[in-house]
Amino acid sequence: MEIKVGTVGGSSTIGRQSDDTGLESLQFCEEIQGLMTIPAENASSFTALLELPATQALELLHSPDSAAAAVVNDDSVHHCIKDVPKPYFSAFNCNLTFPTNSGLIERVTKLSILAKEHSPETTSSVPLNSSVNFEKVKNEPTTDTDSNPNPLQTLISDPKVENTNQRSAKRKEREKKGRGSTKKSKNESNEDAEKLPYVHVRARRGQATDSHSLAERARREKINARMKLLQELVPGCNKISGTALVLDEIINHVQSLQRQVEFLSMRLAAVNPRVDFNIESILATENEPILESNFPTMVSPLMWPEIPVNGTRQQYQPQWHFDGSVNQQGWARDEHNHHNFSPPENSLLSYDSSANSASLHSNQLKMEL
Amino acid sequence: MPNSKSAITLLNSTSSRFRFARTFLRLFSRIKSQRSATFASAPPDQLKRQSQRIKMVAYSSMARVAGPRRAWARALLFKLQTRPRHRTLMRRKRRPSTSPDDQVGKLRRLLPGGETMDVCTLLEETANYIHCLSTQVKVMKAISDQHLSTPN
Repeated sequence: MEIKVGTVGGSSTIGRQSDDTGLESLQFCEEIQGLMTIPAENASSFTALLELPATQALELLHSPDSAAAAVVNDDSVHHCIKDVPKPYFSAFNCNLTFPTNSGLIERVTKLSILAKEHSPETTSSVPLNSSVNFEKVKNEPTTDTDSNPNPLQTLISDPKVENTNQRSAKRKEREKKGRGSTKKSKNESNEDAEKLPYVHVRARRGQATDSHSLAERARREKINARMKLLQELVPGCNKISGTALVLDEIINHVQSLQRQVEFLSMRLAAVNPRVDFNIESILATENEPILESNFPTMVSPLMWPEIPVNGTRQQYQPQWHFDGSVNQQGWARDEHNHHNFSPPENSLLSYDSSANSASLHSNQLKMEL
Repeated sequence: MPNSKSAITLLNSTSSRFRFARTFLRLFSRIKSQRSATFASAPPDQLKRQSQRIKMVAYSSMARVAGPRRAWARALLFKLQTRPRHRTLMRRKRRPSTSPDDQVGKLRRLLPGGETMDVCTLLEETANYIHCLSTQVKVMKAISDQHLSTPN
Protein backbone atom coordinates (compact mmCIF):
# COMPACT_ATOMS: atom_id res chain seq x y z
CA MET A 1 0.00 0.00 0.00
CA GLU A 2 2.61 2.47 1.05
CA ILE A 3 4.78 1.86 -1.93
CA LYS A 4 1.90 2.32 -4.24
CA VAL A 5 0.77 5.39 -2.50
CA GLY A 6 4.22 6.68 -2.87
CA THR A 7 4.42 5.89 -6.54
CA VAL A 8 0.98 7.12 -7.11
CA GLY A 9 1.69 10.26 -5.26
CA GLY A 10 4.82 10.70 -7.25
CA SER A 11 3.09 10.16 -10.50
CA SER A 12 0.26 12.44 -9.58
CA THR A 13 2.62 15.11 -8.45
CA ILE A 14 4.42 14.68 -11.70
CA GLY A 15 1.08 14.97 -13.44
CA ARG A 16 0.33 18.06 -11.48
CA GLN A 17 3.68 19.66 -11.97
CA SER A 18 3.85 18.91 -15.64
CA ASP A 19 2.03 21.84 -17.05
CA ASP A 20 2.91 21.83 -20.67
CA THR A 21 6.31 20.24 -21.09
CA GLY A 22 6.23 17.26 -23.31
CA LEU A 23 9.36 15.88 -21.69
CA GLU A 24 7.72 15.41 -18.36
CA SER A 25 4.72 13.93 -19.99
CA LEU A 26 7.06 11.49 -21.64
CA GLN A 27 8.52 10.65 -18.26
CA PHE A 28 5.05 10.23 -17.00
CA CYS A 29 4.28 7.93 -19.83
CA GLU A 30 7.36 5.90 -19.13
CA GLU A 31 6.47 5.68 -15.53
CA ILE A 32 3.01 4.54 -16.38
CA GLN A 33 4.37 1.98 -18.70
CA GLY A 34 6.73 0.80 -16.01
CA LEU A 35 3.83 0.53 -13.67
CA MET A 36 1.84 -1.26 -16.30
CA THR A 37 4.51 -3.76 -17.16
CA ILE A 38 5.05 -4.71 -13.60
CA PRO A 39 1.47 -5.46 -12.72
CA ALA A 40 0.72 -6.75 -16.17
CA GLU A 41 1.14 -10.34 -15.10
CA ASN A 42 -0.69 -9.74 -11.91
CA ALA A 43 -3.49 -8.01 -13.63
CA SER A 44 -3.79 -10.58 -16.35
CA SER A 45 -3.79 -13.30 -13.82
CA PHE A 46 -6.30 -11.36 -11.87
CA THR A 47 -8.58 -11.04 -14.81
CA ALA A 48 -7.99 -14.60 -15.75
CA LEU A 49 -8.78 -15.54 -12.21
CA LEU A 50 -12.40 -15.70 -13.12
CA GLU A 51 -11.73 -18.48 -15.55
CA LEU A 52 -9.23 -20.21 -13.33
CA PRO A 53 -9.96 -23.49 -11.62
CA ALA A 54 -11.30 -23.08 -8.15
CA THR A 55 -8.20 -24.19 -6.34
CA GLN A 56 -5.89 -21.70 -7.96
CA ALA A 57 -8.42 -18.96 -7.51
CA LEU A 58 -8.70 -19.83 -3.87
CA GLU A 59 -4.96 -19.86 -3.52
CA LEU A 60 -4.69 -16.49 -5.08
CA LEU A 61 -7.46 -15.15 -2.96
CA HIS A 62 -6.08 -16.64 0.18
CA SER A 63 -2.66 -15.15 -0.31
CA PRO A 64 -3.85 -11.67 0.48
CA ASP A 65 -0.54 -10.01 -0.09
CA SER A 66 -0.13 -10.78 -3.74
CA ALA A 67 -3.78 -10.44 -4.56
CA ALA A 68 -4.23 -7.17 -2.74
CA ALA A 69 -1.01 -5.89 -4.18
CA ALA A 70 -2.22 -6.82 -7.63
CA VAL A 71 -5.50 -5.13 -7.00
CA VAL A 72 -3.99 -2.00 -5.67
CA ASN A 73 -1.39 -1.91 -8.37
CA ASP A 74 -4.09 -2.09 -10.93
CA ASP A 75 -6.05 0.52 -9.21
CA SER A 76 -3.17 2.88 -8.88
CA VAL A 77 -2.20 2.40 -12.47
CA HIS A 78 -5.63 2.99 -13.77
CA HIS A 79 -6.20 5.87 -11.51
CA CYS A 80 -3.00 7.39 -12.66
CA ILE A 81 -4.04 7.00 -16.22
CA LYS A 82 -7.62 8.02 -15.87
CA ASP A 83 -9.38 8.17 -12.54
CA VAL A 84 -11.78 5.41 -13.17
CA PRO A 85 -15.02 5.43 -11.28
CA LYS A 86 -15.56 2.46 -9.04
CA PRO A 87 -18.44 0.42 -10.35
CA TYR A 88 -17.17 0.32 -13.88
CA PHE A 89 -13.65 -0.40 -13.08
CA SER A 90 -14.28 -4.02 -12.47
CA ALA A 91 -15.97 -4.38 -15.80
CA PHE A 92 -13.07 -2.63 -17.42
CA ASN A 93 -10.69 -4.82 -15.58
CA CYS A 94 -12.50 -7.87 -16.82
CA ASN A 95 -12.33 -6.76 -20.38
CA LEU A 96 -8.82 -5.47 -20.12
CA THR A 97 -6.39 -7.07 -22.50
CA PHE A 98 -2.90 -5.82 -22.46
CA PRO A 99 -1.69 -6.14 -26.04
CA THR A 100 -4.31 -3.62 -27.03
CA ASN A 101 -3.50 -1.68 -23.97
CA SER A 102 -0.16 -0.45 -25.31
CA GLY A 103 -1.94 1.30 -28.11
CA LEU A 104 -4.36 2.66 -25.60
CA ILE A 105 -1.51 3.97 -23.51
CA GLU A 106 -0.14 5.79 -26.48
CA ARG A 107 -3.49 7.25 -27.13
CA VAL A 108 -3.72 8.24 -23.51
CA THR A 109 -0.39 9.96 -23.61
CA LYS A 110 -1.28 11.81 -26.76
CA LEU A 111 -4.53 12.81 -25.26
CA SER A 112 -2.91 13.82 -22.07
CA ILE A 113 -0.53 16.03 -23.96
CA LEU A 114 -3.42 17.47 -25.86
CA ALA A 115 -5.37 17.95 -22.73
CA LYS A 116 -2.50 19.63 -21.05
CA GLU A 117 -2.22 21.91 -23.93
CA HIS A 118 -5.90 22.56 -24.03
CA SER A 119 -6.83 22.82 -20.40
CA PRO A 120 -4.00 23.67 -18.12
CA GLU A 121 -6.35 25.10 -15.54
CA THR A 122 -7.45 21.81 -14.08
CA THR A 123 -5.84 20.91 -10.81
CA SER A 124 -4.98 17.52 -12.02
CA SER A 125 -4.46 17.07 -15.68
CA VAL A 126 -5.00 13.41 -15.66
CA PRO A 127 -8.57 13.00 -14.52
CA LEU A 128 -10.13 15.02 -17.25
CA ASN A 129 -8.20 13.18 -19.88
CA SER A 130 -9.24 9.97 -18.43
CA SER A 131 -12.84 11.01 -18.46
CA VAL A 132 -12.61 11.96 -22.08
CA ASN A 133 -10.80 8.84 -22.98
CA PHE A 134 -13.09 6.75 -21.03
CA GLU A 135 -16.17 8.16 -22.50
CA LYS A 136 -14.70 7.19 -25.78
CA VAL A 137 -13.95 3.74 -24.72
CA LYS A 138 -16.67 2.88 -22.35
CA ASN A 139 -19.22 5.52 -21.81
CA GLU A 140 -18.35 6.20 -18.28
CA PRO A 141 -19.72 8.86 -16.01
CA THR A 142 -17.03 10.79 -14.25
CA THR A 143 -19.07 12.15 -11.45
CA ASP A 144 -16.99 10.70 -8.69
CA THR A 145 -13.67 11.77 -10.00
CA ASP A 146 -14.84 15.21 -10.88
CA SER A 147 -16.45 15.77 -7.55
CA ASN A 148 -13.27 14.80 -5.80
CA PRO A 149 -11.00 17.81 -5.75
CA ASN A 150 -7.97 15.98 -4.57
CA PRO A 151 -6.86 13.11 -6.74
CA LEU A 152 -4.76 11.71 -3.96
CA GLN A 153 -7.81 11.10 -1.90
CA THR A 154 -9.52 9.29 -4.68
CA LEU A 155 -6.42 7.31 -5.24
CA ILE A 156 -6.23 6.26 -1.68
CA SER A 157 -9.87 5.89 -0.91
CA ASP A 158 -11.02 4.30 -4.12
CA PRO A 159 -8.98 1.13 -4.08
CA LYS A 160 -10.52 0.06 -0.83
CA VAL A 161 -14.02 0.34 -2.10
CA GLU A 162 -13.00 -1.26 -5.28
CA ASN A 163 -11.28 -4.01 -3.43
CA THR A 164 -14.42 -4.70 -1.54
CA ASN A 165 -16.43 -4.69 -4.72
CA GLN A 166 -14.08 -6.98 -6.49
CA ARG A 167 -13.69 -9.14 -3.47
CA SER A 168 -17.41 -9.53 -3.14
CA ALA A 169 -17.65 -10.41 -6.77
CA LYS A 170 -14.87 -12.91 -6.37
CA ARG A 171 -16.52 -14.29 -3.29
CA LYS A 172 -19.75 -14.85 -5.13
CA GLU A 173 -17.82 -16.52 -7.87
CA ARG A 174 -16.00 -18.70 -5.42
CA GLU A 175 -19.22 -19.64 -3.71
CA LYS A 176 -20.67 -20.63 -7.00
CA LYS A 177 -17.66 -22.70 -7.75
CA GLY A 178 -17.78 -24.20 -4.30
CA ARG A 179 -21.38 -25.17 -4.73
CA GLY A 180 -20.57 -26.71 -8.04
CA SER A 181 -17.70 -28.65 -6.61
CA THR A 182 -19.74 -29.92 -3.68
CA LYS A 183 -22.45 -31.00 -6.03
CA LYS A 184 -19.89 -32.75 -8.12
CA SER A 185 -18.36 -34.48 -5.11
CA LYS A 186 -21.75 -35.59 -3.91
CA ASN A 187 -22.51 -37.07 -7.25
CA GLU A 188 -19.16 -38.81 -7.30
CA SER A 189 -19.64 -40.23 -3.83
CA ASN A 190 -23.03 -41.55 -4.78
CA GLU A 191 -21.56 -43.22 -7.80
CA ASP A 192 -18.77 -44.67 -5.71
CA ALA A 193 -21.24 -46.02 -3.22
CA GLU A 194 -23.13 -47.66 -5.99
CA LYS A 195 -20.00 -49.18 -7.42
CA LEU A 196 -18.20 -50.02 -4.23
CA PRO A 197 -17.79 -52.99 -2.04
CA TYR A 198 -21.09 -54.18 -0.72
CA VAL A 199 -22.58 -55.46 -3.87
CA HIS A 200 -24.23 -58.29 -2.04
CA VAL A 201 -26.07 -55.92 0.23
CA ARG A 202 -29.15 -54.74 -1.52
CA ALA A 203 -31.19 -51.97 -0.13
CA ARG A 204 -34.81 -52.90 0.02
CA ARG A 205 -37.56 -50.44 -0.40
CA GLY A 206 -37.41 -47.62 2.07
CA GLN A 207 -33.93 -48.42 3.26
CA ALA A 208 -31.14 -45.95 3.16
CA THR A 209 -28.77 -46.30 0.27
CA ASP A 210 -25.75 -44.27 1.18
CA SER A 211 -22.52 -46.07 1.81
CA HIS A 212 -22.53 -45.72 5.57
CA SER A 213 -25.85 -47.34 6.11
CA LEU A 214 -25.00 -50.03 3.61
CA ALA A 215 -21.82 -50.85 5.48
CA GLU A 216 -23.63 -50.73 8.77
CA ARG A 217 -26.27 -53.10 7.50
CA ALA A 218 -23.61 -55.50 6.25
CA ARG A 219 -21.92 -55.39 9.63
CA ARG A 220 -25.17 -56.13 11.41
CA GLU A 221 -25.88 -59.06 9.16
CA LYS A 222 -22.41 -60.40 9.81
CA ILE A 223 -22.87 -60.11 13.54
CA ASN A 224 -26.23 -61.82 13.32
CA ALA A 225 -24.71 -64.70 11.41
CA ARG A 226 -22.01 -65.06 14.04
CA MET A 227 -24.58 -65.01 16.77
CA LYS A 228 -26.51 -67.73 15.05
CA LEU A 229 -23.39 -69.85 14.80
CA LEU A 230 -22.69 -69.32 18.47
CA GLN A 231 -26.26 -70.21 19.32
CA GLU A 232 -25.83 -73.49 17.56
CA LEU A 233 -22.58 -74.11 19.35
CA VAL A 234 -23.71 -73.38 22.87
CA PRO A 235 -26.10 -76.01 24.16
CA GLY A 236 -29.50 -74.83 25.23
CA CYS A 237 -29.07 -71.52 23.51
CA ASN A 238 -31.35 -72.13 20.58
CA LYS A 239 -34.57 -71.31 22.27
CA ILE A 240 -33.42 -68.05 23.74
CA SER A 241 -34.19 -64.97 21.79
CA GLY A 242 -32.61 -61.63 22.33
CA THR A 243 -29.00 -60.73 21.87
CA ALA A 244 -28.31 -59.89 25.48
CA LEU A 245 -29.63 -63.19 26.80
CA VAL A 246 -27.77 -65.15 24.18
CA LEU A 247 -24.60 -63.33 25.06
CA ASP A 248 -25.18 -64.06 28.71
CA GLU A 249 -25.57 -67.70 27.91
CA ILE A 250 -22.41 -67.71 25.86
CA ILE A 251 -20.48 -66.04 28.63
CA ASN A 252 -21.74 -68.56 31.13
CA HIS A 253 -20.79 -71.37 28.85
CA VAL A 254 -17.28 -70.08 28.34
CA GLN A 255 -16.84 -69.55 32.03
CA SER A 256 -18.07 -73.02 32.83
CA LEU A 257 -15.72 -74.49 30.27
CA GLN A 258 -12.79 -72.61 31.69
CA ARG A 259 -13.72 -73.75 35.16
CA GLN A 260 -13.96 -77.29 33.88
CA VAL A 261 -10.48 -77.06 32.46
CA GLU A 262 -9.22 -75.85 35.78
CA PHE A 263 -10.99 -78.57 37.65
CA LEU A 264 -9.78 -81.24 35.29
CA SER A 265 -6.24 -80.05 35.49
CA MET A 266 -6.47 -80.23 39.25
CA ARG A 267 -7.83 -83.70 38.98
CA LEU A 268 -5.12 -84.71 36.60
CA ALA A 269 -2.54 -83.32 38.94
CA ALA A 270 -4.06 -85.08 41.88
CA VAL A 271 -4.34 -88.33 40.04
CA ASN A 272 -1.75 -91.02 40.56
CA PRO A 273 1.21 -89.30 42.04
CA ARG A 274 2.35 -92.73 43.07
CA VAL A 275 1.53 -94.60 39.90
CA ASP A 276 4.75 -95.34 38.18
CA PHE A 277 4.90 -93.41 35.07
CA ASN A 278 4.83 -95.60 32.06
CA ILE A 279 4.18 -93.94 28.79
CA GLU A 280 3.46 -97.12 27.00
CA SER A 281 0.88 -98.16 29.48
CA ILE A 282 -0.69 -94.74 29.49
CA LEU A 283 -0.85 -94.63 25.76
CA ALA A 284 -2.10 -98.14 25.55
CA THR A 285 -4.69 -97.66 28.17
CA GLU A 286 -5.66 -94.13 27.42
CA ASN A 287 -5.87 -93.77 23.77
CA GLU A 288 -8.11 -96.63 23.09
CA PRO A 289 -10.65 -95.63 25.65
CA ILE A 290 -10.51 -92.09 24.43
CA LEU A 291 -11.12 -93.15 20.92
CA GLU A 292 -13.40 -96.06 21.38
CA SER A 293 -15.08 -96.25 24.70
CA ASN A 294 -15.38 -92.64 25.68
CA PHE A 295 -15.99 -90.90 22.46
CA PRO A 296 -18.84 -92.94 21.17
CA THR A 297 -20.82 -91.72 24.10
CA MET A 298 -20.48 -88.29 22.65
CA VAL A 299 -20.17 -89.08 18.99
CA SER A 300 -22.20 -91.61 17.18
CA PRO A 301 -20.13 -94.39 15.61
CA LEU A 302 -21.24 -93.44 12.12
CA MET A 303 -18.86 -90.55 12.22
CA TRP A 304 -15.93 -92.78 12.77
CA PRO A 305 -15.02 -94.13 9.45
CA GLU A 306 -11.41 -93.93 10.46
CA ILE A 307 -11.74 -95.91 13.64
CA PRO A 308 -8.89 -98.26 13.23
CA VAL A 309 -8.85 -101.89 13.97
CA ASN A 310 -6.88 -102.64 17.04
CA GLY A 311 -3.97 -103.87 15.02
CA THR A 312 -3.51 -100.59 13.26
CA ARG A 313 -4.32 -98.84 16.46
CA GLN A 314 -1.25 -100.33 17.95
CA GLN A 315 0.70 -98.91 15.11
CA TYR A 316 -0.43 -95.41 15.86
CA GLN A 317 0.93 -95.33 19.30
CA PRO A 318 4.64 -95.53 18.64
CA GLN A 319 4.34 -92.71 16.22
CA TRP A 320 2.61 -90.58 18.76
CA HIS A 321 5.22 -91.19 21.28
CA PHE A 322 7.83 -90.67 18.65
CA ASP A 323 6.39 -87.25 18.08
CA GLY A 324 6.31 -86.47 21.71
CA SER A 325 9.73 -87.63 22.60
CA VAL A 326 11.80 -86.51 19.70
CA ASN A 327 10.27 -83.45 18.13
CA GLN A 328 10.31 -80.04 19.58
CA GLN A 329 6.90 -78.57 19.17
CA GLY A 330 6.47 -75.50 17.16
CA TRP A 331 3.98 -73.90 14.95
CA ALA A 332 5.47 -75.09 11.76
CA ARG A 333 5.72 -78.62 12.96
CA ASP A 334 2.19 -78.58 14.23
CA GLU A 335 0.84 -77.10 11.09
CA HIS A 336 2.64 -79.69 9.11
CA ASN A 337 1.08 -82.37 11.20
CA HIS A 338 -2.34 -80.90 10.87
CA HIS A 339 -2.25 -80.69 7.18
CA ASN A 340 -1.09 -84.20 6.91
CA PHE A 341 -3.51 -85.48 9.40
CA SER A 342 -5.92 -87.65 7.60
CA PRO A 343 -6.36 -91.31 8.32
CA PRO A 344 -4.75 -92.91 5.27
CA GLU A 345 -1.73 -90.67 5.36
CA ASN A 346 -1.46 -91.17 9.00
CA SER A 347 -1.48 -94.89 8.66
CA LEU A 348 1.28 -94.59 6.12
CA LEU A 349 3.23 -92.39 8.40
CA SER A 350 2.71 -94.69 11.26
CA TYR A 351 3.82 -97.61 9.18
CA ASP A 352 7.02 -95.87 8.32
CA SER A 353 7.67 -94.51 11.70
CA SER A 354 6.73 -97.63 13.52
CA ALA A 355 8.77 -99.77 11.23
CA ASN A 356 11.74 -97.54 11.66
CA SER A 357 11.36 -96.50 15.18
CA ALA A 358 9.78 -99.38 16.97
CA SER A 359 13.05 -100.64 18.29
CA LEU A 360 14.46 -97.14 18.60
CA HIS A 361 11.36 -96.10 20.43
CA SER A 362 11.59 -98.78 23.06
CA ASN A 363 15.23 -97.91 23.52
CA GLN A 364 14.33 -94.30 23.99
CA LEU A 365 11.74 -95.19 26.50
CA LYS A 366 14.22 -97.07 28.54
CA MET A 367 16.63 -94.23 28.24
CA GLU A 368 14.04 -91.80 29.45
CA LEU A 369 12.95 -93.86 32.33
CA MET B 1 -6.22 -75.18 9.59
CA PRO B 2 -7.78 -76.02 6.28
CA ASN B 3 -11.43 -75.67 7.18
CA SER B 4 -11.46 -73.58 10.27
CA LYS B 5 -13.42 -70.81 8.69
CA SER B 6 -16.31 -72.89 7.54
CA ALA B 7 -18.93 -74.25 9.78
CA ILE B 8 -17.58 -76.86 12.09
CA THR B 9 -18.23 -80.14 10.50
CA LEU B 10 -18.31 -83.41 12.29
CA LEU B 11 -15.32 -84.78 10.51
CA ASN B 12 -13.39 -81.75 11.53
CA SER B 13 -14.44 -82.21 15.11
CA THR B 14 -13.27 -85.80 15.19
CA SER B 15 -9.95 -85.03 13.59
CA SER B 16 -9.51 -82.02 15.82
CA ARG B 17 -10.17 -84.30 18.75
CA PHE B 18 -7.36 -86.49 17.56
CA ARG B 19 -5.13 -83.51 17.44
CA PHE B 20 -6.18 -82.26 20.82
CA ALA B 21 -5.58 -85.60 22.42
CA ARG B 22 -2.23 -86.00 20.79
CA THR B 23 -0.90 -82.56 21.60
CA PHE B 24 -2.15 -82.56 25.10
CA LEU B 25 -0.86 -86.02 25.81
CA ARG B 26 2.50 -85.08 24.51
CA LEU B 27 2.87 -82.09 26.77
CA PHE B 28 1.16 -83.82 29.61
CA SER B 29 3.48 -86.76 29.45
CA ARG B 30 6.40 -84.40 29.44
CA ILE B 31 5.18 -82.77 32.62
CA LYS B 32 4.48 -86.09 34.16
CA SER B 33 7.89 -87.38 33.28
CA GLN B 34 9.48 -84.29 34.75
CA ARG B 35 7.53 -84.73 37.87
CA SER B 36 8.25 -88.41 38.07
CA ALA B 37 11.90 -87.55 37.69
CA THR B 38 11.81 -85.02 40.49
CA PHE B 39 9.16 -86.74 42.42
CA ALA B 40 10.39 -88.05 45.72
CA SER B 41 8.14 -86.52 48.31
CA ALA B 42 5.47 -84.20 47.11
CA PRO B 43 4.46 -81.48 49.48
CA PRO B 44 0.84 -80.39 49.15
CA ASP B 45 2.07 -77.11 47.80
CA GLN B 46 3.48 -78.85 44.81
CA LEU B 47 0.15 -80.30 43.91
CA LYS B 48 -1.26 -76.88 43.36
CA ARG B 49 1.65 -75.86 41.26
CA GLN B 50 1.28 -79.05 39.32
CA SER B 51 -2.35 -78.39 38.60
CA GLN B 52 -1.43 -74.91 37.49
CA ARG B 53 1.11 -76.30 35.14
CA ILE B 54 -1.31 -78.79 33.75
CA LYS B 55 -3.79 -76.06 33.13
CA MET B 56 -1.21 -74.05 31.30
CA VAL B 57 -0.29 -77.07 29.29
CA ALA B 58 -3.91 -77.67 28.43
CA TYR B 59 -4.39 -74.14 27.24
CA SER B 60 -1.20 -74.00 25.30
CA SER B 61 -1.87 -77.29 23.58
CA MET B 62 -5.30 -76.00 22.72
CA ALA B 63 -3.86 -72.85 21.25
CA ARG B 64 -1.31 -74.81 19.30
CA VAL B 65 -3.93 -77.04 17.82
CA ALA B 66 -6.06 -74.07 16.89
CA GLY B 67 -3.17 -72.67 14.95
CA PRO B 68 -1.61 -69.25 14.58
CA ARG B 69 -4.38 -67.85 12.49
CA ARG B 70 -6.71 -67.62 15.40
CA ALA B 71 -6.38 -64.41 17.30
CA TRP B 72 -7.33 -65.95 20.60
CA ALA B 73 -4.72 -68.68 20.15
CA ARG B 74 -2.03 -66.14 19.50
CA ALA B 75 -3.06 -64.07 22.47
CA LEU B 76 -3.22 -67.13 24.67
CA LEU B 77 0.23 -68.29 23.73
CA PHE B 78 1.62 -64.83 24.24
CA LYS B 79 -0.05 -64.69 27.60
CA LEU B 80 1.35 -68.01 28.59
CA GLN B 81 4.83 -67.27 27.41
CA THR B 82 5.27 -63.86 28.95
CA ARG B 83 5.52 -63.31 32.62
CA PRO B 84 2.48 -62.16 34.52
CA ARG B 85 4.15 -59.11 35.98
CA HIS B 86 5.22 -57.98 32.59
CA ARG B 87 1.78 -58.56 31.26
CA THR B 88 -0.06 -56.51 33.82
CA LEU B 89 2.31 -53.66 33.29
CA MET B 90 1.83 -53.77 29.58
CA ARG B 91 -1.87 -54.08 29.80
CA ARG B 92 -2.18 -51.24 32.20
CA LYS B 93 -0.17 -49.06 29.97
CA ARG B 94 -1.95 -49.92 26.82
CA ARG B 95 -5.57 -50.13 27.75
CA PRO B 96 -6.58 -48.17 30.77
CA SER B 97 -10.29 -48.77 30.69
CA THR B 98 -12.47 -51.30 29.02
CA SER B 99 -16.19 -51.19 28.96
CA PRO B 100 -17.15 -53.12 32.04
CA ASP B 101 -20.89 -53.20 31.94
CA ASP B 102 -22.26 -54.89 28.94
CA GLN B 103 -22.02 -58.47 27.87
CA VAL B 104 -19.68 -57.73 25.06
CA GLY B 105 -17.20 -56.30 27.53
CA LYS B 106 -17.51 -59.37 29.69
CA LEU B 107 -16.98 -61.63 26.73
CA ARG B 108 -14.03 -59.53 25.77
CA ARG B 109 -12.40 -60.08 29.10
CA LEU B 110 -13.12 -63.78 28.98
CA LEU B 111 -11.65 -64.39 25.59
CA PRO B 112 -7.89 -64.19 25.45
CA GLY B 113 -6.89 -61.27 23.33
CA GLY B 114 -10.47 -60.15 23.03
CA GLU B 115 -9.81 -56.67 24.27
CA THR B 116 -8.52 -55.51 20.95
CA MET B 117 -11.08 -57.11 18.69
CA ASP B 118 -14.14 -55.57 17.19
CA VAL B 119 -17.46 -57.20 17.77
CA CYS B 120 -17.53 -59.25 14.61
CA THR B 121 -14.16 -60.87 15.15
CA LEU B 122 -14.93 -61.25 18.81
CA LEU B 123 -17.96 -63.38 18.08
CA GLU B 124 -16.17 -65.41 15.47
CA GLU B 125 -13.23 -66.07 17.73
CA THR B 126 -15.55 -66.89 20.57
CA ALA B 127 -17.23 -69.54 18.48
CA ASN B 128 -13.91 -71.10 17.67
CA TYR B 129 -12.72 -70.76 21.23
CA ILE B 130 -15.79 -72.48 22.61
CA HIS B 131 -15.39 -75.29 20.19
CA CYS B 132 -11.76 -75.82 21.05
CA LEU B 133 -12.38 -75.48 24.74
CA SER B 134 -15.16 -78.02 24.77
CA THR B 135 -13.02 -80.45 22.83
CA GLN B 136 -10.20 -79.93 25.24
CA VAL B 137 -12.50 -80.52 28.17
CA LYS B 138 -13.72 -83.74 26.65
CA VAL B 139 -10.20 -84.95 26.06
CA MET B 140 -9.08 -84.08 29.54
CA LYS B 141 -12.12 -85.70 31.03
CA ALA B 142 -11.44 -88.86 29.12
CA ILE B 143 -7.84 -88.94 30.29
CA SER B 144 -8.67 -88.29 33.88
CA ASP B 145 -11.40 -90.87 33.80
CA GLN B 146 -8.92 -93.30 32.48
CA HIS B 147 -6.48 -92.41 35.18
CA LEU B 148 -9.04 -92.77 37.88
CA SER B 149 -10.35 -96.04 36.59
CA THR B 150 -7.09 -97.85 35.93
CA PRO B 151 -4.44 -97.22 38.54
CA ASN B 152 -6.02 -98.08 41.82
